[in-house]
Amino acid sequence: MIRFKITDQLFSEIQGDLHRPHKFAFERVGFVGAGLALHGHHCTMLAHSYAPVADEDYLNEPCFGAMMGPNAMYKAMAWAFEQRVALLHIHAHVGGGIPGFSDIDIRESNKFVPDFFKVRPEMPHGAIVLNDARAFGRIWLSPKTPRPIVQFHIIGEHSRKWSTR
Amino acid sequence: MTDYVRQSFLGHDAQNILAEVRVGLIGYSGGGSHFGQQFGHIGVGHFVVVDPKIIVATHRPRFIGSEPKDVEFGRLKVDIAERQIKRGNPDAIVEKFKTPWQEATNALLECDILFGAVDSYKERAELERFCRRNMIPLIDIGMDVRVLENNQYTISGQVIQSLPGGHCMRCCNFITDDKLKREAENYGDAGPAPQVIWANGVLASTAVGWGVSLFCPWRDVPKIFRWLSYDGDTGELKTPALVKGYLSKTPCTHHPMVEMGDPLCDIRNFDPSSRDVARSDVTHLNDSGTNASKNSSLISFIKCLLRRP
Repeated sequence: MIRFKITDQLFSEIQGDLHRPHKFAFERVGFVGAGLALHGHHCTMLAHSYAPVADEDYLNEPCFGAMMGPNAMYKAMAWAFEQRVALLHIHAHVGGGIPGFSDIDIRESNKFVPDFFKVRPEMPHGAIVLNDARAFGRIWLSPKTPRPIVQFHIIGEHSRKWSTR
Repeated sequence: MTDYVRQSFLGHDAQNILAEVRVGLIGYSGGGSHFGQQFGHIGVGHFVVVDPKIIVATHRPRFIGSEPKDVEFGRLKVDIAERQIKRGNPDAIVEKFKTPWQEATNALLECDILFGAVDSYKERAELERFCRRNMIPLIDIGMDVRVLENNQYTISGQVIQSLPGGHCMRCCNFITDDKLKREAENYGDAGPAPQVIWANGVLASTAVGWGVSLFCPWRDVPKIFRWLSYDGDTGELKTPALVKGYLSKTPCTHHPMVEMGDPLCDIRNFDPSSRDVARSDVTHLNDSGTNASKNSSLISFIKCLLRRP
């Protein structure tokens, strides 16, 4: 089972950042850095850092909500290489309930997430989409096939958890 | 009207949330037994209880739920815990580990919160580090009785909540290298530490309230480091000045967030289909690792005798 834990402080910080307006992109994106704990059949991602994609690293592509340029990917991969983090691409959708990836999200993350293993093969990597209250994600345990994050835990003054099954 | 109507202010979904919460109790005696009793009654649904010892007579004056026969039979503390918890919530799942907590980490990793009622700074430091690495909230309690110069005594204690990303027991100087060193030097010289039920009750009840508020908050409260110092002579619980002073301006540097997780983990060695021993298979293990207790061995022996011609 794959679990994802994050403090409510970091979760709120990410939500706040992803809702900032951008000059031309309709959405903002960023990367979460996480540690890893493995026991039995449980894989737990422990989110500890967030790096927003810099304003200048977006490409002006009106057909997409947000398109990262090569510099954004370079910086993310450099981060994973230098600091032994699991990298999770993150962006936000509007709405309630448990969010889901769009077809474009899935197609694009299928392309770039496996590349993270080139710099940090011993860590899993993935993608998360969140809204005001919940999140959903996919984790690649190897470059081959993603699996869903089954449980999310928000840890803090208002701790909560939900299953995506 | 349900049994829990008097705590319905915790939220319309509170009982479902509490039923799903997994609470880990590290140490089940003077402090831990209060946790078990209260969380059972509140409706918490899943417990992991860890204590390697059996009850002895000197535990009885402060061990909630213990009976004289428990001492007579040399009952395991974790067995008493299960009995007490289920008196409050008969549907509770109670996983018991008659081991040091370091040998129950797989079960503790699945807990949503841990409550520490351990006896030493060393244990506290290790437990806090484990919780911080694995992003598990920890609430710790402890009490002390000291002799004064005039041969009178003073009772004191503390409740400390250690949340990932927040301040820790080192931030408030409750754990220091000097205390750890002195404790290590005194190891084996210290006699049984004095403890009394009412002080443990105050501290544990406060901790239980904090724990519930993390999952079922009933009001917005300022987000400050939760640390209460207990004056057992006056009955006062108060927030040390350090919390609103120095700590309010200084983040924790003892448990950097980037140190989350196991630095030696390698996902390439992970088999997602492998399983631990199934939780339902684990009741408790004695020192030889077999699934037996003194009582069940005695009962088996008696049954064997009765079957003889």
